[in-house]
Amino acid sequence: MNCADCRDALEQTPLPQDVAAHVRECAGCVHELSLLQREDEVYAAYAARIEVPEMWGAVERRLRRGVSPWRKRVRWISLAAASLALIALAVITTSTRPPRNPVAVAVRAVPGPAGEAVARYRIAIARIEGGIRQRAKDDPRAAAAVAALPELTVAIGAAETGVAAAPADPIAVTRLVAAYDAKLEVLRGAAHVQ
Amino acid sequence: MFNSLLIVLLAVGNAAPPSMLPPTSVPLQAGDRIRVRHEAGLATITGGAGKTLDIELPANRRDLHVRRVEPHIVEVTTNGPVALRVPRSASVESISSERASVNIRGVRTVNVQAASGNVRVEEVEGNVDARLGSANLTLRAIGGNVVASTGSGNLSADGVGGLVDVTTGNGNMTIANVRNGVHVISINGRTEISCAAGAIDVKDTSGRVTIRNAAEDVDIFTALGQAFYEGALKPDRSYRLRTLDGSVTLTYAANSAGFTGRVASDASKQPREDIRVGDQSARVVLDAVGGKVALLKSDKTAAGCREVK
Repeated sequence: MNCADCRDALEQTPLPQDVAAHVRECAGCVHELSLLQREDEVYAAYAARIEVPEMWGAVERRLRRGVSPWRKRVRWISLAAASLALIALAVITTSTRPPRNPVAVAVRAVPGPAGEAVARYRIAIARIEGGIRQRAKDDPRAAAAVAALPELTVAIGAAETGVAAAPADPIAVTRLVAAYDAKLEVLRGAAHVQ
Repeated sequence: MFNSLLIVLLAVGNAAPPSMLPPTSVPLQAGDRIRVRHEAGLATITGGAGKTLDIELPANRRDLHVRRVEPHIVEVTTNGPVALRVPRSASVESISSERASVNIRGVRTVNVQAASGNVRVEEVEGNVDARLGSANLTLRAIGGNVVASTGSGNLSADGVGGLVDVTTGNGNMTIANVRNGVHVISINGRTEISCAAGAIDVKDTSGRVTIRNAAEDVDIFTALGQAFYEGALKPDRSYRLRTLDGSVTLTYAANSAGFTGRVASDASKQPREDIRVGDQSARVVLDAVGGKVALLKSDKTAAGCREVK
């Protein structure tokens, strides 16, 4: 199995055996899988935000019905629960604020001398990637750039694995910087054609 | 073969001069490579007209071992200063530790591994390969290619007939008068290249790169550092300086060819500017994402470069 086939199958749950076997041996696909898992976490956080108002509605309906002492007790318990839910919602919303750009989801610290360059690249990419993705439906150049991103992300993942193993190796550092640079140049190429 | 193992343990002779023992002479076979391992002090390896390996040690030392470790490798091991004379046609391999320095001169090819100290290699007919930790490498008059990697050691090369390919972490590279191309990978060092007759390609992360008087294409990338080109622009050549958040500056000499140029900086009010000068025979690209770009014209003509033999 090659990386392209593997990436197409990464969203299946559970992973097919051959895909899982490939992921175990391929650093790039491991990285890709981790990106998807982080995306799932973000979507899960969104889902939590959506469900809370529905719970509020149910609580309010019960409050309107309330007559018996037992129901009164339930009412206070429900109010307390709702308050706790609101506090939890505030915490979840603050801690899992949706990223401006999918790149932000993938952020993990890169050790050694590549760290600062990688951080700057992530910022530069995040500035324009969202806009390019939005334009991809109508703009063939933007669509082509977006289509190239998964492969570049795999290359970045592989290069990050290399830097993690040898943070001060000039070849590994240069390869990682080049991988980020390639991604940025693809996006810049699409951004500057209007 | 291996059973022809030769071991020479020096005995101190009474008639020896006070400072150095009389040289020990080891016969060599055609195609023999000489490997020198030494721990401390200065090892001097000099090529000459002779056919033998002649070894001189200070009189107070007895720690010399010479043996044939492979069919065509004679290995010399010593813990202190040593002087070797080898045939001019010999290939020399030097492996030295943190307290050692090496001078090699007038041999056919050189392969150096040095943890620290200073390594000087001169007048080599063929290639030089070097793997250095924090050791500094000085190269003069090298006829073949130079392939070197350093951790934090500095490299100075002047007069190279072949290609130069250097990789460094934090070392400073000074490379001049190269008859072919130069390729440098650097994380954080200072890179200076002048008078290369071939193409120049530098990939830097956050160092400072200065190129002067290139005869062929120049391609410099620094993610966060500074990149400079100074010199005449040649017809049909391209000069490409790129950065992410660093700065790139090209200063072209008065005797430059005309050129078409693109100066781009995403951070500026005018992100793209196309320039046409003279006969437009050269190509200039200066590109910064968040950094600075500058295209400057000098009133001076570019200095000439000496011919490398």
